[in-house]
Parts: sequence; structure tokens; C-alpha cells
Amino acid sequence: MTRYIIRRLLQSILVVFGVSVLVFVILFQTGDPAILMASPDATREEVDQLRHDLGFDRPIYVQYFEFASKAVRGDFGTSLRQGQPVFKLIRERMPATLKLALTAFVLSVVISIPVGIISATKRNSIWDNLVMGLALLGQSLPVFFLGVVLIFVFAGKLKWLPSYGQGDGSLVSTVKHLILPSITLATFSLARSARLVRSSLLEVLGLDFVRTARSKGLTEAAVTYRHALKNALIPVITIFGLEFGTLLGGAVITETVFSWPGIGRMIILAIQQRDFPVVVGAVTVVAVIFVFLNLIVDLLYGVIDPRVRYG
Amino acid sequence: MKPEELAAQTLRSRLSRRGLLRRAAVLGLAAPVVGSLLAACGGDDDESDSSSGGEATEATGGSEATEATGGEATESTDEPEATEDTGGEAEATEPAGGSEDVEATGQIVIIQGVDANSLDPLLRNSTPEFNLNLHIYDMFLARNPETLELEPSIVTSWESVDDNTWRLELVEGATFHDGTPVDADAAVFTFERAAKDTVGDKPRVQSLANQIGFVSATAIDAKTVEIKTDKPAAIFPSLLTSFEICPPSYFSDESPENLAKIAETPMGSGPYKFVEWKRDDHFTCEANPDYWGEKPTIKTVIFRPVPELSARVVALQNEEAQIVTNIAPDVAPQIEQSDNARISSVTGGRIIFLGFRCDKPPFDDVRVRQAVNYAIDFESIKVALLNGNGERASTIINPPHTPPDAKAYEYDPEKAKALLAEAGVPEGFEVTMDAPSGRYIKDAEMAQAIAQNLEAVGLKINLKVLEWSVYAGELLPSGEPDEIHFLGLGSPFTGEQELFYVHPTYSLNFTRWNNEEYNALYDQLTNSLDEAERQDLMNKISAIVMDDCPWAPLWHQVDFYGASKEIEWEGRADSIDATEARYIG
Repeated sequence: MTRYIIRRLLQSILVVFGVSVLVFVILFQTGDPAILMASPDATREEVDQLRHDLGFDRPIYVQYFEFASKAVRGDFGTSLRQGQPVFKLIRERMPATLKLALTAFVLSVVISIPVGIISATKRNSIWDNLVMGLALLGQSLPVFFLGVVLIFVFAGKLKWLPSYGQGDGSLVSTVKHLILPSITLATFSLARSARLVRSSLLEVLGLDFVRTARSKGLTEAAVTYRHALKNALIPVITIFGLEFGTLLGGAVITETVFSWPGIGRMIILAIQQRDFPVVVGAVTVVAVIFVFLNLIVDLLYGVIDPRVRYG
Repeated sequence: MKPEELAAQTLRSRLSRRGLLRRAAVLGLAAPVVGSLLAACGGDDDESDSSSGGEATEATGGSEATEATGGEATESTDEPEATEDTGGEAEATEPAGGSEDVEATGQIVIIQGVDANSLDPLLRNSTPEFNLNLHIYDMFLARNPETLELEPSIVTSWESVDDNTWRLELVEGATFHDGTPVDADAAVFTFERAAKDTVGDKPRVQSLANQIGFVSATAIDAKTVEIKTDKPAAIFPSLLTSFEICPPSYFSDESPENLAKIAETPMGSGPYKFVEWKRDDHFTCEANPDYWGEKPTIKTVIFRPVPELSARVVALQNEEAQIVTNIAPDVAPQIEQSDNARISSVTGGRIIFLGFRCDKPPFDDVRVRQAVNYAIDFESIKVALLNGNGERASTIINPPHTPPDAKAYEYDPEKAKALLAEAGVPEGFEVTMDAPSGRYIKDAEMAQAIAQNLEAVGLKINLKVLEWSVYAGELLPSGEPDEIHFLGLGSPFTGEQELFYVHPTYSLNFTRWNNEEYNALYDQLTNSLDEAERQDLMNKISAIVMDDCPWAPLWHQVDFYGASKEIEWEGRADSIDATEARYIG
């Protein structure tokens, strides 16, 4: 077990390293920020000078090495645009993103499991068809479109909820501001999870041990909830783990549509402004979280399913 | 003029305005911030964010805006009678606006497309940042909101003592928010800070000092400063409209911690005091009861960044916001019809144009460039895409220096064909045209329409529309856009700077145009301080640029703002100034 954890940790470090190299390389292919930063009437020489001062005329591996050697010491550099340490900016934004992602995650879990179970146990019923149809729709709707429609209906027409921002910090205001974005963010993963719960449970319900349980005369509810469900949830938990990571990183569009001051919106802005340190730093941090969640999920496996052995 | 416009104007000129601000420029590089998001999400409607008026430069990009404007007329605090000089705004007559005993009340929320990156005056490079700064800081000079001419602000008078020396007089009785006086020493400190190559250990982006060839600043007495330059710098006063006077007490410590504090918690001598800033959420400031100039009537001003156009529109209609920037022209009618909101539109400082690669045949022939100009049917574009707003540009110079008899190219496809024939390409030719999407109002659509115009006179256009961040991030820095490229540059209202956009050394001029006559006259312009002579030179240069056309200027982009019907307020070309807003009734 310890060896397994150590091996997985080493692997994780490798993954994070890979991600940061990838982001760095791709980003630097898109040109440097000097021309965007220079004043509008700068001459070519002034732009070149600024590029030099910022160090963007150096070979990319030199720039990466400098970034990496600082990053391992917890220093992601300073934002080109904001003049603030990148780590501080990330820390400031994390709570908002966590709040949104957690809410969406809870929504997704709390709704998808019962919905999936009911669909599986009442297979091919009207309920099943309806719910799975909706789930398909939920998976196909672009997040952007859904967000705008919700704003238009619930903020614009009905005026029940605010259209943007995260409110003044009070509980009531926070909840109100969270409703639309968290629904928007949760929809895709909720739909996917519900379908997964359904198919996973259906699969397990067809296995021998379930037939055995039934033949012992257990009630259908006991068979489903006590025996089948536990087994059916193993793949679901894997997905939930990843899903949470996706929600964290994937809040990008939702945060933009709803002007939610989180990390996704920060990354998008930074990309557009070619604020390289912020992009690389924030993506690396998200990658670390993602990899870490994966590790936890793998370890949880063993807790849920004793057959799993780490070697 | 329609009656309601008349009424609005009358109202405005009665109200006195504070003077300040700004704006500027921008080039277009700025903004995508939103733009692309939206593009991703929504189309380009938002692009406008960048547009000028309000946001002329959006954050992203780069450029800074510089200029200021505003208008306060009031010169001094102590005398009730302010001396107005320029045109306008009489503060003394203002009943409502007037200062003295009216206590500021109420609050307004202003939504822009993006948030500021930094509020350090030297790191600022976008219009949304400028809009925040001008509430907290005083710019040295202001612009009249309508004519865009210079007006006094914290500098009450400015004159050139000789070719290389400017003398500024500061207002009496002004203090920074920490109580230290606004005096000549503060002005000297501010200029010297701007003249350094770095802010802390980072390269400086703003370039006021470079632009004027700054040599030194000296305090002559408590209220008088002299600035020496190494060349005649006629645009200096104009540049002062977007230059914040800073308190040495707060700014002199260049430690990283203090610089970070300056960037996030600004402190100046402006009409509002900084209260709180939470990035990408809100920026709050409160009326400064001790303001030296006309005191604000709105107590609390909150800026919020909302990138998504539909969310901005809904916020305005739900009364969650009173002023909203970057309304797309096709959404404007919807707002006009609502019960509680209206549209305020203003021609901003950004000129939208097609640039030609004059180093590549057949665009090395002026007749071909003119043919393209004649082939563009802007009237149809205006009706189809711009909700009827805007005019074909007749010059690349913004007010107040617009040449009086500038004439735009007329739509004349027959003439275009004739010119092509004369140039030896009667059957037309195939050419690539680059255009951004999501940066300027209806940019991709406009490019599409122009491509059709050009096909109608025989050209075969390969239209290459790129999402803005790619356009600005890759195509432009490559320095090698295609033969025709669609671009917008935000201009600072000095004339000289607008004309610089086609100068061979300008970093965003990709035309490779090199016209001896232009070069010679431009040299003269930069070396002249005589206003009449300068205007004459600008008129001549503008005529050369229009005639030899390295560009096909399209229009000076119109900015659309949404405003609550509860407030009196009109968009202006150079900034958003909440001190100009009043609740009705």
C-alpha cells in the first residue's frame, strides 16, 4: 500500500510536470505579450525593448527552466498585467471556484444517484424514457447556451434571481447568486452521472450474485440497495472523483457567463491577455488538484471494494 | 437635432462636470478580454468592449489609453465663481450640481465588460482601468465632453515658455485623500516616477515621458511646475488628460509590497475615495466630501465587470445596474423599448479601417487602393449591421482636430472598376483579407459585407476571419498580415497621435507605406508648437493619407451604453465618469 502510494505520487509529479511543459510550449507558440502590453503608439524598437526587458526573447527552454525552478519552491512568478504574485491571485480566486464547483458537485451527486437508480429499477418505463431523454439533452446542451437561457428566463423575465456576480457575501445573497451558475455547471455532469448510475446498476442487476440474492427470497429493495448498489457505485465513484476535477477546471465558461470571480475566468482572461505566468501557474495548480483527486479516488476504491488490491 | 437630443444636451451643459479624464487610445489590441469570450460564447456582440468609449482599451490589450478629458470647468475651489475657460460648463450656474451644501447620496452601479488588472497609474493600459482611476485620481487636465477640447482640472493653466519648456499652474487648496497637499512637489514626483524605466523591478508600460522627450520637472513655487523636454512637445497638454497626479507620501516606497498595495488600493486626490476592490467582482468608491472641485452628488459608485452581454442587459433591465457598457447595436432597440432603460450612444475614439500591404502588388499602386475605397458600400453596412449608426470616416483624425473639409470616399463601384482597369488589373485579382472576430462592433460581419462589395467590382476575396485573441496574439505580432487586413485603432484625440498610426516606425502599422511628403510634414508637425500651424499641417497630412490611402478608413466606431432612466447621464467618447451622473427627481 505504501509502495503503491509512493509510486502513484511519483507518477502524479510526472503528470504535473508534463502538463506544465505542454501549457508552456503551446502558450509560447501563440506569440509573446510584448506587443499587447506596449503603449499604443510604441514604435517597433520600443516593443522589441519591452520584449527584451520581459525576457521573452530568450529560448523557450531557458524560460521554462526559470519558471520550473521557481515553481517547485512555490513561486509561480508575478502576473505581467496585475503586478501581483500569481500564487496570491490563485489563492484569492480559489474559494469562489470551490464554492461553485462544490455546489454543482453536490447537486450532481444528490440528483444523479436517485434518478439513475429509479431509472434502472423501472427500466423502459415512462419515467426512465423521460429522464434518460432529459439526460441526453443535458449532455448535449452547450453550457454557454444553457447559462444564457437561464439568465434570460429567471433573471430577465421572471426577475427571481440575480443575473451575475456572487452577491454581497451574506448567506441569502450567496445562495441566490449560486443557483443559476451551479445548475448550469452541474447539468452536464449530472446528466452523465445519472446515465452512468443507471447503466452500471443495470449491469450489476444482471450478475449471478444478484440472482442468488433474489433466489434466497430477499425483497427487491434489499437486493437493489443492499447488494447491487454497492457494487454498481464503484465505477460511479471513479467518475465522481474525476467529475469534481472537471467541475473545478471546467467552470471556465460558467464563470464567464455569470461573471463569477473564480479561477476559470481568471485563466481565460489571462490567456487573452497573454499573461503567461498566470496561465501557466493556474493551469498547473488545477492539474495538481486533478491528479490529487485521482489518487484519492483510487485509494477509496479499496475501501469500497475489498477485492481491489494495491500492488 | 431631435427634441430629445436637444433636451439632453441642454441638460448636460447645465450640469457641471468634473473634469477629468481621459482616454484614449487604444488600439485595438486591447481587448479581447471579453471579446473572445464572447466570441466563444456569443458572437461578437460584445466586442464592443473595446470600443472606445467606454472601454476603449480593454484590458487586454494593450494599449493604453491615454487621454483625458473632461470637463470641469471649475477652476478653483475657493472662489465660488469658477472661471471657466473653455467652453463650458459653468459650474457656478448649477443649481443642482453645485457643490456646497448638497450632500452626496445614493449609489450607482456601472458595469463594464472586464475588470482592471492594476490600478497603478503607470501599469494601467486599458480603458476600464482608466475609468476606475479617474474617480480616485485627478488627471492633470480634462477634456470637454462634447468638443473634446482641453479644459483645466487640477492644472488650471498651461503654457509653453519656450520650445522645450512647459509651465503648469496647479489649483489651490487640493489635498490627497490622506490629507497631504497637492502641490508642485507632488507633480514633480509624479513626472519623475513616470520617467523611470521601471516600476519597482518591472519594465514600465506607460510611456508619457517617452512621448514628450521628458528631461526634467522642477518646482518653481508651491503651485508652479516647469517641465523640460528635449523636443517641442505640443501634445503634452493633451497627454496630461490621462495622467494621474500621485501623492509622494503613498507612492515613493517602491518595495514590492508597497507596489502591490498601490496596484490594488489606489489613493489620489480625486472626487471619490477608494473603499474596496475584489477582483472580477466589484470596485467600490465613495464620494470625497473634501474634494477641491465640484463635489460628487452620488455617494457610492460601484464598478462591476460582467463579460457576458446578455447578463449586462438583464442587469440593466432589472435595475441591478444603472450604466452598462458595450451594448451591441442590434440589442440597442430592445433596450430602447424597455420601461426603465435607454441607450446613450457616442462616437468614440476608435477608427476602424482596412489596411493595405503597400509593399505587395497590386497594392503598391495607389489606384488599386483607391478602387477598394470606392467599392465599399458603407451605407448598406450601416443599415444592415449597425442599427443605422455611424458614418464612413473622412479622416483618420478624431475631434477636436478633425480637418474641417475632409471628405469620405463615396460609394462608386463604376469608378472602382475604372481605376482597376487603369491600374492594369481590369479583370480584378485574387487576394486574402484578414479580419478579427469578436473585437470590434460587428467586425466579422462587416468584413463579410466588404468582401462582397469587393467581389462586385471583380476582386476575388479569400476572407480569413480569426478569433480576436489569435488575430492579436499571432497574426499581428508576426508583422505579416495579408494584403488587406481589418483593424481598429483607438486614438487619443491629439491628431498627431492618430496620424502616427500610418508612420513607418509605428509598431502596429503593417502597411509598409512610405510617403516622402507625409514623412516630411509629420516631422514638421512634431516639431511645431503653434496651434494654427499644427492644425494646418494636420489637415494637409490627413488629405495625403486619405488620397494616397494606405488604409481604407471605414468609420469612427460608435459606442453604445445602456443607462437607467432614473439617472441623467450620457456616454462620452473618452471615459465613463460617474460624477456626471445625477438621479432624476
